Amino acid sequence: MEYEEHEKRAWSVDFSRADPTKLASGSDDGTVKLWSINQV
Amino acid sequence: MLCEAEEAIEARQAAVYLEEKEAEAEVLLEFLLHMENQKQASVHTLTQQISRLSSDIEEIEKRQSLLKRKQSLATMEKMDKPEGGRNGRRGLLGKRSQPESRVDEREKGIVCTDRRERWPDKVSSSSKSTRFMNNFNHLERVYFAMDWRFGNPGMDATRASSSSMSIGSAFGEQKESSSQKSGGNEEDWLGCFFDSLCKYARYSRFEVKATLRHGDLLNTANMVCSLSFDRDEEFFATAGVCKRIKVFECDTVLNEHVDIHYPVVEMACRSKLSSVCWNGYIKSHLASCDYEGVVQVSFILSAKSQLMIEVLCLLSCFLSFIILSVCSYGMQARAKC
Repeated sequence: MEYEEHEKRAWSVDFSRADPTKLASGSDDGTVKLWSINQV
Repeated sequence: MLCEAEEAIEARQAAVYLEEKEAEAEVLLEFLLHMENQKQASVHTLTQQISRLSSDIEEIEKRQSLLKRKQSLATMEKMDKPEGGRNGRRGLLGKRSQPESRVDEREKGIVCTDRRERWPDKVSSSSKSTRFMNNFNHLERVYFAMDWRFGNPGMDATRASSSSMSIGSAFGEQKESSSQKSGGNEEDWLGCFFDSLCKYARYSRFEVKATLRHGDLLNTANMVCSLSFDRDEEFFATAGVCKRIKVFECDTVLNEHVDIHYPVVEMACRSKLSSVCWNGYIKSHLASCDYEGVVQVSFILSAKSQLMIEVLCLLSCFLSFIILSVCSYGMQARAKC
């Protein structure tokens, strides 16, 4: 699965310890995005 | 007339002088009282601290003797059954005198060797104590900061999360099994402190266990930007500017001393990779992100020792996700699989 949301370079990505279906990514565009693997 | 005036002045002066002296004495008295209070307070604190220390020392000696007893029992069992000692308790003393546990550690891979490695033989007790002495003030502060007598239950989570193999827990278990005292906060706090202290004391340096040549010789851009272990510490994934995610097997890298290790799985990506992260719960999920800002989740499925890779493009689900994210962020989103 690819998520193309960040506008600039994404530096880091990590899964949540509490909910393994969630992950967060941080980017040069100044945003942190939370993702869910479970699709709606 | 003049004499009378002089006498009056003298009397006045004497009175003033006395008043001054009295004021000075009051200041002095105040200072002394204040100092006395302070000293009394520190005497009180010191007495408390000393009594706490002595009670802790007593407690530890008791636990130590329990461990020793357990140890001697284990040795006797081991003599009866040679392989029995392997699964024995790994308390502080147990660790020191179980020569076969080192073989165990070697078999278990990178993290295990780092985590459970005992004191290297070279590290003598003197260097251990030097390290303690260098950080004595800090350790002391931490020790007294842990007010276990009036401990708050919130810290129990930390205690519970600490590894069950750790010394403090081992002590705790000993205590429970011996059931000489009802288990209270006291033991937990003591155990907690010892866990940290022993962890601190056990490691003094890192040791290189294996070296892995990453990337091919022709390609000079081999910088590894990120590395992540899987849930069971069976594999690890590397990613970097070579635009590839490579998955290596820990055991192979650790135990097979060859010039080049080949990855069990290699995935080509569109762009240089900045980070990679393996899901701590779902073994097959590996997330990565790249220089273009694309976040990718790959599904790596392992069947027994054989690793299979399937990058599943759940297009329909993905599209619905995109719709959702466009709604949430109000941004343009492209989908490519």
